[in-house]
Amino acid sequence: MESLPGINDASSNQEVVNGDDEIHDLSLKKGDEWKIGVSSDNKLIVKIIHGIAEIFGTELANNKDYVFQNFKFSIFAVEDVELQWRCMELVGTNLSVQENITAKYIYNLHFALEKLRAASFDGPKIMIVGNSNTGKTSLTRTLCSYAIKYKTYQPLFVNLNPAEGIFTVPGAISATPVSDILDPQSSRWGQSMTSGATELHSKQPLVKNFGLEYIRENRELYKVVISQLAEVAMNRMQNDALVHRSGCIINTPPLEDLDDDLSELLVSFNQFKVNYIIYLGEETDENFSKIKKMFPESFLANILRIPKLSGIIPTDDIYKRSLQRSSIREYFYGTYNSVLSPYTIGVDFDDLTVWKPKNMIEDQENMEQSSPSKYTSVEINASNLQHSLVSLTYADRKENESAVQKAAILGYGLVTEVNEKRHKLRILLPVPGALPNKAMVLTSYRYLE
Amino acid sequence: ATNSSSNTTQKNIQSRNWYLHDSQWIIFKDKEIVSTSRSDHSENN
Ligand SMILES: Nc1ncnc2c1ncn2[C@@H]1O[C@H](COP(=O)(O)OP(=O)(O)OP(=O)(O)O)[C@@H](O)[C@H]1O
Ligand SMILES: [Mg+2]
Repeated sequence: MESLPGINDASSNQEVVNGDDEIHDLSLKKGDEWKIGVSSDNKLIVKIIHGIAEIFGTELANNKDYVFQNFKFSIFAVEDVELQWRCMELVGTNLSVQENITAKYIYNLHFALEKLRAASFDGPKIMIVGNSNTGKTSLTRTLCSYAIKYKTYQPLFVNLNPAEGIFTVPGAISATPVSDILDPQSSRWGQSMTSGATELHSKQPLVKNFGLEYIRENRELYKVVISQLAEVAMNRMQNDALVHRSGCIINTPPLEDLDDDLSELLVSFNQFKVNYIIYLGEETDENFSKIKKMFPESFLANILRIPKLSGIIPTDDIYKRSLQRSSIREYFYGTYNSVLSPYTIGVDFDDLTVWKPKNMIEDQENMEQSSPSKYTSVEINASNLQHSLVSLTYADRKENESAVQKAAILGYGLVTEVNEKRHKLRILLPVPGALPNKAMVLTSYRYLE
Repeated sequence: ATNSSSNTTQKNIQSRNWYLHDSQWIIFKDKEIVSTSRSDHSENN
């Protein structure tokens, strides 16, 4: 095999780091934010010399080098800030520094949540909704960071957007108690659980596998998976007084991705027993009226609106895909700061049982449209499996499709090679050891260097 | 200047754990994981 995915990336990173050593100074006035986009073949190094600066609510330490790559983000000056930066890509460009005019809404929202946490052991459960690129994920992240900044809270962060692999791979939805600061350098928020020491305390996600790229490919399955996530998440809240009091903060997919009746939102709302909805956007948005109509009069006071965040950097599919790739790579190989060593194993075709979710759009003609959430079985061959990301479940290989669909998720593997002649394939696993004798589920995600 | 602490962690090769089973995750307490190298912000906790 020529090279393992991820290996090449790591070596090229080293060169980029040493590429430009020219140090530039920048002052940010209190309340300003510096909007930054760094591509994947460049690195930005930032050192805060003086003052308090935040990235998505996480405060940066002074005199520490922070390294950024393939990331669109902004540095917000809570007080006047002096910083140094170096990055080939940004030299000679106009740096985008503007007043952050929506910060006050986020503060107000945070303080309202603090009050609710202080007032009851049953913390607030809020769901952030809005059209694409309005700042939902950024707001969720900032609120999680603020919640743990001054008090020992542990909010449950719930990600219902399967296109964003936060703390896990894309295609999954997840719930993660945020028990330590989020990594400001990571577009994927930081590390999820690893053995041994990590620079930041790693987070332990609960993961449910949707497996398709787009919600529209199987809305029924998506709703089933949300209910399964919610059931376990709500159970955790009942069992964990700290998480219960801290509440949960739910990130959702862009409203454009949902059905016309927004039924996915209603399922999420009911399953997580949400008590506040935060809408990001304008009063006059069609979707805002639609959402207000979905709920009874008595709930309207709990639907709050914040304008689209001023820090937004419009993103496109290319960037979103690159984040999905980073997220898969990070799952197996870790980050620049904490490298992981995955493990490749050879297995015989006969040792595998693979299922897959129905794709109601692609398989329209040849597949029965009944029971959309039922898995179908996958023939083991190169065209089905080469370079694909598969979930490993806790269900034994011989279990039926329904047990496999309901099973907990053990983790993910990556099929790196399929040899049809020899009837063998190679799978990259995050954990050393034998291949667990468990049923697998094929996702739509493929990864190769 | 390079960040020496990130260089040390980089050499410390680790691997990932499988995710917990749902029933274990429900009763898991996050504070039980102790990371040896704490973040710079740990004084805030
Ligand atoms: N201060 C900021 N506030 C909000 N977004 C920011 C900020 N700084 C940078 N961004 C960038 O703006 C982009 C869009 O923000 P975000 O991903 O939060 O929107 P979203 O509503 O979750 O989008 P989607 O609907 O695609 O999930 C992201 O790349 C984000 O990193
Ligand atoms: Mg988002």
